[in-house]
Amino acid sequence: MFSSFLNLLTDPILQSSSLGSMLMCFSSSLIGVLVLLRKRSLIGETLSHASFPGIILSSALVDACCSSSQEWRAIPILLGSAISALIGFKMLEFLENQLKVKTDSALCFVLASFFGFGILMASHLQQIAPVTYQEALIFVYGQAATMTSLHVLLYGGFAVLTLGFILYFYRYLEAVIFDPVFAETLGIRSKKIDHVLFLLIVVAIVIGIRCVGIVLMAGMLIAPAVAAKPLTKSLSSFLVFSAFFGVVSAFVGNYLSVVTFHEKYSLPTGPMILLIASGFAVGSLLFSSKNGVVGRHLRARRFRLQCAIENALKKIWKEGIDRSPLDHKMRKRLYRLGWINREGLTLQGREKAEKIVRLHRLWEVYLVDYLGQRVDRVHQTAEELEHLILPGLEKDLTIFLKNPLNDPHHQKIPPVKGVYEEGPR
Amino acid sequence: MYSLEIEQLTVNYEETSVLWDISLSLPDKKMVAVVGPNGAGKSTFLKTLLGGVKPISGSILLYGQPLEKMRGHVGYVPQRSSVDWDFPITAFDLVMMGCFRQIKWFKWVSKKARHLTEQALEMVKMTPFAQQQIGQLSGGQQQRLFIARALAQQADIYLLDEPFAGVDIVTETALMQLLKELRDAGKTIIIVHHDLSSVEEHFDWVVLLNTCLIAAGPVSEIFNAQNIQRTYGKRHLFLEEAIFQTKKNSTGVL
Repeated sequence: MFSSFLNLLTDPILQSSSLGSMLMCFSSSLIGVLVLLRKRSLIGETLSHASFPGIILSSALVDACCSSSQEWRAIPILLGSAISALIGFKMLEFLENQLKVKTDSALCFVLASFFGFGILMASHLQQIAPVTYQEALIFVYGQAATMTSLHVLLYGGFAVLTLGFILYFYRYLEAVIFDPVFAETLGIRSKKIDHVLFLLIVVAIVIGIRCVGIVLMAGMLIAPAVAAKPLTKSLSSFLVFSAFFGVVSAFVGNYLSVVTFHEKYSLPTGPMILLIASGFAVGSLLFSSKNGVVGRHLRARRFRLQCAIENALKKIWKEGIDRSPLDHKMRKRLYRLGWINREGLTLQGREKAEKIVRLHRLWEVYLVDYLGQRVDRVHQTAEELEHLILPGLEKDLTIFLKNPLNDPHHQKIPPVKGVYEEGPR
Repeated sequence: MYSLEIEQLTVNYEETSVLWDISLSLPDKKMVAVVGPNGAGKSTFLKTLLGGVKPISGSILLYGQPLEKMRGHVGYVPQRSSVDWDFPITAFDLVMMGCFRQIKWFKWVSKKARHLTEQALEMVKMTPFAQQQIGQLSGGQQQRLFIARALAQQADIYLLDEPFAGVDIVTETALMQLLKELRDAGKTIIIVHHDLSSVEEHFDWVVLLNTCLIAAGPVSEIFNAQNIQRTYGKRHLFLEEAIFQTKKNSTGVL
């Protein structure tokens, strides 16, 4: 098991594909963060499809010029796809800015028209040069397993470039993306930075395609960033987490595709990587502590339980332990909290209960005296509010209400000894 | 000393509201309200002062200097609704944005920037919240944070776009207090304001705007029923229609 982990990085055949896809995912997940924050998530989808006609055209040209076995053929094909994607991007800008086409329509239009044009040329290529056609198809679905050391070099170079850009322009990017108007007042050329950013997006997509394919590239750009977002509160940690998820996805994806290798079938690397990254994204949306669905559910449940416990305690305080029937579970809970013993409330339990009743009655005073609500209607609201625990709330409320002694129903409000020097005024 | 001198300023772009032939001078060390109906060009006015919107014609001088020379000296508090509160940025980093000039390439933080940021956070009493993500703060805290950014910037002139929209009255009073302290410390505060009832109480000067400049001057002289009627009345409809038409003609849109 462990040796196959190491194999992935040392074995000369596996090495290229695993290192290559890790470097690719590293840079694309960094770029993905910026794309997500710029709210242009769909641009990856459009630009990766827009590169297709370039791939076909440059494959055909390269095929016409030299023999098919040379390794450097990858470079003109990359160049061709980059040019094609850039034209797609310019067209997108033109549609949006000059023709005032809505963003989503413009994205769809560029995607469909470029990809359609690509398919048209591809079917022609299939007739005149079937082998080249097959090679060009690699880009549609991606093929990490056949990457060479040339690819590793290329991806390494781009990873360094991306990292350099982000480190160098970190504060600029933060200002430009977060508050463009403000960035303008500082004299930052937002437009220029934006242009470089979009150029990097194009390059990230174009070189990533070889690994995961046109169709999945958009996901590769966004998934690690989506996974990272709920875990972060600053741009730097966002970038670090996203890069981490990207690299780990690439590694695990490669690993799984190698260990599951079988003579009759194999799990392709690209989709595997994306599935892992998507798994991270779903996991973090479900389980992140801040906004995760699971965490929210648990917190809500804990609050409901706290309310139930406090209500039970209140009942005992008001009516005595004999007259408040408790189910076994609740009795055990209160016992464990040290709030009751066999005879009744402990000292601690009484203090806690009095605190709740006090808050309840303080809220009633507030609602009646300051908000003019009807005396017979406030009990229900106070029943909700008494469970809120905010630092200093009780003290602030006491001072604001000038430490009242009775609630609107003429019941005594349990006092707090020695805490509030102000006393009744 | 004038904090702001505007000569025949005209802004007429596709996406912004129109401003037409505005000339005014504002003294420094004043609280200035910019008042006018929706679509009167108040936000455009601020953005033009910030350099974010380029005017067709006219000149703007801040403390006698053209905008380009005053870059970084203008603090800006954006409209609440235009801020992406979900953006992963901490209170500290947001305020630090104001110290942009102190940070060299490749360096994320400098000693001076850190010091200025801490000082600014302290002044608006936000130090305990420095490491919170901005979306987790209350409305009033968020506004104070943006004011702190302007403080860290050591700005001379503060532009605030409807800072009291969506904050409660207690917070508004507290923010006003803070802004008044800044004015007393020699800053000029320009606020786009929509609550006519509190203009007299809080402001020294008022700029009444509805596409054209209706009036600008001390609140006690200018802010009267007649001028307000002129600002919010329908007498400008005719001019607005004409300007709208020129905009269409000049851009060729039907």
